[in-house]
Amino acid sequence: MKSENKSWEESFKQAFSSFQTELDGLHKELEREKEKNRSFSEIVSEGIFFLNSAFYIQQGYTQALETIIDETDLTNINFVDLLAHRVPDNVIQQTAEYLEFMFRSDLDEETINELNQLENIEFYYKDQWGFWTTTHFLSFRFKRVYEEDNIVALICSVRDISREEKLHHKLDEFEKNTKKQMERLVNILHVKPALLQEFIQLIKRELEVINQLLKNPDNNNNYNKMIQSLQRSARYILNNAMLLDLKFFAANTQEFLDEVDKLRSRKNISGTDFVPLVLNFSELRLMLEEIQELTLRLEHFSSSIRTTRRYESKLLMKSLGRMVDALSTETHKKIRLIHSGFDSLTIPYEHQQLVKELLFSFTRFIILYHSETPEARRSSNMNPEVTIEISSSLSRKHFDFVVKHDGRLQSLERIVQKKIDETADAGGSEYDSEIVSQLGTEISQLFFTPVNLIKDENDNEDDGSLVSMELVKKKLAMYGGKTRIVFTSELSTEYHITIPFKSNP
Amino acid sequence: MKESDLHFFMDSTSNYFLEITGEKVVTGIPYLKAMEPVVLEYTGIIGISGRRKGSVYITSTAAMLKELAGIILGSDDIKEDECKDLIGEIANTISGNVRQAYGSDFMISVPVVIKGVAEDIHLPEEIQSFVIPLNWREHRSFLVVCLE
Repeated sequence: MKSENKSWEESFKQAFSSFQTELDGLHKELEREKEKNRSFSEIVSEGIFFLNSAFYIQQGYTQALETIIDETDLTNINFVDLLAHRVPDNVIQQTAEYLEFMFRSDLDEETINELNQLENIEFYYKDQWGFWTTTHFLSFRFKRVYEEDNIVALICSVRDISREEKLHHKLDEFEKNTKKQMERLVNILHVKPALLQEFIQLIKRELEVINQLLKNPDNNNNYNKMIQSLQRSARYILNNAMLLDLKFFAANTQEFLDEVDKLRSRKNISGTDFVPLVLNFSELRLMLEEIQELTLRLEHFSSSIRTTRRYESKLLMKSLGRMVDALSTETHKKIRLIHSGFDSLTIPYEHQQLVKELLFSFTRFIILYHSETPEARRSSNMNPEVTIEISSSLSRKHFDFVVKHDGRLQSLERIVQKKIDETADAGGSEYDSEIVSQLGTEISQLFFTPVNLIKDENDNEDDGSLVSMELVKKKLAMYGGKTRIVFTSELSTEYHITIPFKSNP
Repeated sequence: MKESDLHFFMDSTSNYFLEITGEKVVTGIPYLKAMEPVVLEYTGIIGISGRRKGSVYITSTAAMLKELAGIILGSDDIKEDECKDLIGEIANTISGNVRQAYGSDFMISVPVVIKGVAEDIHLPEEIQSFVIPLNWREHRSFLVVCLE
């Protein structure tokens, strides 16, 4: 009995030991397997996980999932809920529908997969304050897991495709911008870098004027004065853009000017009425920044691609002619511009911008304030067409040009008449040389005095050209330039402008 | 940014004031936000993502919020917390309106409220921000819209 017991005990021990060895072996194998899985999970850069039919994430997902989603403990978390505030609501809704279809065996998997909204999705990550600080582009893929013809789960993978996606976006953006920049580059290539630089500085300054006007409007909401100033600045920018034949910039400025004109014609203006204008202004600023950027890029090879001065010379007259045409149409006047005596090639390099501004301002001033309509001229037995003639000459010390016109001098006539009346009242002679001299001085003063002094009190129309004239006059004075008015005949008036060489302000 | 976007935010804020106080808020001329900060004592911010990205915030003085809260609550004793709640509510109303108007392909964040004059509110630099002054009674606050 004892020996039987002993034998049983030994057998049991042997059996136990064998079980124990097997169990230990299994434990070790399990540990090895776990370790292998852990290593595998750590190595795999894709997030791999299983979803049950209620869309809950199953145990045993890869480590990368937590890294990609930036969340821990994802077991038993509803996948659709996990998407909330990370992708748009419509994507969440469509994903829920798609996953439901994936669990329906009567629907073809390949076809259903086309409904996957998460194949390339921008995923948002929040910071501690709840702000979306970063985004990544993720690609989720789903595949059915079958057990005896039943779909029991979905095996899902997610990988971060931000790098390639961002590069793709960058490329798209680059292609889009390149096309636009090339068009603009072609548009600015004809302008000398120095002139372009000057243009940028001038426009930058003027845009800042507009910015300040918008930012600090009249407290009493009296916008009329401000609108006039906006119009003046816009015209100044437009003239400068036209001068350099920067078509795209001129077109955008014209749009801005149109918005200002709309405001002018509106009654009871409020802040909301300025919205289109402000957006337009934002565009202009952006455009100038682009020009500046292009200029910097052009700087190092500009000398080889610069256009000839002959071309620039033609351009100046073309721009001036275009402005005359536009203003003639706008004011219903007939104007003829003669520029055969003006040689743009002789304008000293350092005064090109100044001469251009003066030419434009004088011409504009003459058309607006000293030119009559064809009807008015016909009734005075005059040629219905006003002639503006410009000519230039060069001496050793200065550059001169003359702007001559045969329009009326309404304001001047008023002064002349007043003086004549005063002289007659005092018993003097109309032809007294002293008086004539005094008249000349006063007429000069009239032309070169602040506009509020020569503006008619009842005249509410100020298109900004009078003030622009003042600015140009100040600039001329800064360069040491001079101007005088000469009456060559009863029918015409000449403005003689002299700009000395090497006279920078 | 489109014209309709800016109008939308202006109208949305304006309607809030009209509904709550029965008085119109006078919207000033919008202007471009530059480097200088536009931040008052209380600020409510919402983030916009999805098809278009950006941020919108409303910033106001304590005095204005106290007066506004006084009308809503019918009390003169308004605490700081109530001011915070109110600016959050205004931002939330704007957020709700945005959600309604822009559809579900936009993501609108839960409003975040900041108390105290922060140095500035960081907005995406590559997108132009617009500042809309809001005048209500003698108070002034600002709505800042930054949307691509």
